[in-house]
Amino acid sequence: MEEASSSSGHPRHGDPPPHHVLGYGGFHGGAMPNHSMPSATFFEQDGGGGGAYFGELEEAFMHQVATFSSSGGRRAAHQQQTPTATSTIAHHHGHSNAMPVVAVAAGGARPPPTLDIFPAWPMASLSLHHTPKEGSNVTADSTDSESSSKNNMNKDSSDHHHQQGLVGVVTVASQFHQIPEQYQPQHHQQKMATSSTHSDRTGKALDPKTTRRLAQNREAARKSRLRKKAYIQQLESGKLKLAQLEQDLQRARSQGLLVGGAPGGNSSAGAAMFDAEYNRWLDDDSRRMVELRGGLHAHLPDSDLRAIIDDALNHYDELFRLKGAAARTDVFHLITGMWATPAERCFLWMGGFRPSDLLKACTLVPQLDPLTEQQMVGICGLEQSLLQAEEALTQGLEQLHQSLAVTVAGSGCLADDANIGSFMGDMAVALGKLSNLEGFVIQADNLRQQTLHQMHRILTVRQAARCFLAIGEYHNRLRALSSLWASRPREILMPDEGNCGQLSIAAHPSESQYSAF
Amino acid sequence: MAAERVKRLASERAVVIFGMSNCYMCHAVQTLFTQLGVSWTVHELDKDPRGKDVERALAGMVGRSPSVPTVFIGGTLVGPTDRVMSLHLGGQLVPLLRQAGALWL
Repeated sequence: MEEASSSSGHPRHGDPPPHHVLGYGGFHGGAMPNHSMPSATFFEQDGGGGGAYFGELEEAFMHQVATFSSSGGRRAAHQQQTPTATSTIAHHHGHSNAMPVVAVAAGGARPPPTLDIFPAWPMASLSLHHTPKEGSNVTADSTDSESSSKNNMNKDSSDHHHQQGLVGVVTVASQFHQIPEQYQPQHHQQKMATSSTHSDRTGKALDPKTTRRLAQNREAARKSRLRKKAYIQQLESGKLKLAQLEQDLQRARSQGLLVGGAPGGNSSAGAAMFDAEYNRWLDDDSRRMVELRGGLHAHLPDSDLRAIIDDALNHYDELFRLKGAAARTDVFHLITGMWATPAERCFLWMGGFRPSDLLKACTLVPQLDPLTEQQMVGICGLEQSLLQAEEALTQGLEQLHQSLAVTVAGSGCLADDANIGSFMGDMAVALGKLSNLEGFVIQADNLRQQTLHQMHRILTVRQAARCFLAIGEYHNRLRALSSLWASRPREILMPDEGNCGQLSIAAHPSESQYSAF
Repeated sequence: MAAERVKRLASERAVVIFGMSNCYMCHAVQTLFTQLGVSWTVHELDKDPRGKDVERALAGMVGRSPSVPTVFIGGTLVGPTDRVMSLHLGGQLVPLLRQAGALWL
């Protein structure tokens, strides 16, 4: 309110460019803050018209007065100007009835950019220059449709006023000095008439029923505007929230914390971080595999190939470092394999691949570079030791499982109430035992790492290159298997007698699905 | 003082494991040696009245925690589980055991 009534010529410095002024007769932006006399006059008169105009809506704007803030925004620029100018009139013309003026000011600033509640504003205001007497008619025009009674009464005159408004836009500039003089007395008239009903202006006979109906309509219109406003505010705040969420999401994605389509849900920050790092590791690994394959096919000298292989080995070491850190923060995430694809999870052994599986690559792969006798012995020895080590760890973990089951079961019968007291004690013991899981995952990763290093030691450079490629490809295939399995067609399948159990209906989709491969 | 005790205990048998009754990794290590056909001795430090001192001494030798299980072969410190496993994968554990007289096959 203060804002509206305080200034006399510089209503809002921080306002958006008042290009909406154009609607009032072509004043370009910049004219507003720097009022010259003519423009001030113009707006005064315009505001005067607006004041009279809104005199009818004083009721409706009461609430807006209470909640007035400078959040009008762009769209309300012209409306802001008018109310402020209206307040200017209050000063210049000494109007006693400042309330509706201020209400206008408040009301004008209130409508948010998204909804044009009073679209007919400029037209109606301008038309008042020509027919100030009929201000109320135009008033009815621009209120909500709920105030239908007013509309009905003033329908005929509204078109006339609109036309006049249009004319007013073009010719208003020339009427500066004329109109204010003739306007003032009429404005006075209207102000006095404001407090009373507008029945004498409409020319209809007024009876209490009509009065009540009009009042009800006004009330309904006001309520509807309130509802609309509340809804708009909700939408706006929702929009802001959404924008903020999107921004956060974008930031998080760029930091690699969220990976779209990461297998499994992330329950903890440590898990999420590991998933992100693991995915990055996978990307790096595929790059190295491509490099390795290229090096093999290009028949690079052994020294170059060795460099690539050493690099790949270091990369694996990096993976086990990551897994070790993850084991300390969220061992369940690792040991349940939530970071891996479903197919990998199926063959999971202690939080990762089974190390002895790697040796298949050694024995099956070297066709072009066959293993020497000595190498075969080495590989077989490695396999045997590995199997023993795996067995040892497996047994240790199994013992942990058994012991944990016993602890969770408690000392007495779980069904008895009396054992609730031992709950916390049992839980504490169980927690202590669970902490052993960490060690097992770390030892298993150590086996994996040592297997790779031993393979690198036993094999020649070219053999090692092929083995590493085979290992990489094997895991790629497992991951691909997971995706394909997830996207396989799931129709009702009928066994086809002639095909020995092959499913005939699914055959076609499968064919097309796999034809790309 | 405790370090000497450790040394003494470690020399009593070919394969000496220092562990705890609630340590499941100790059990894994024991399983490994069993698979190799080696007889071993385990000292469970939580059952030992002077176990805390031994544990501290072991931590100093091994340089990390947990300090169990820690394996001595032929009186010489081999180390924690991952060290034992790495040696085995590298094919060096068995010769070590033979050397200590724990393995005759």
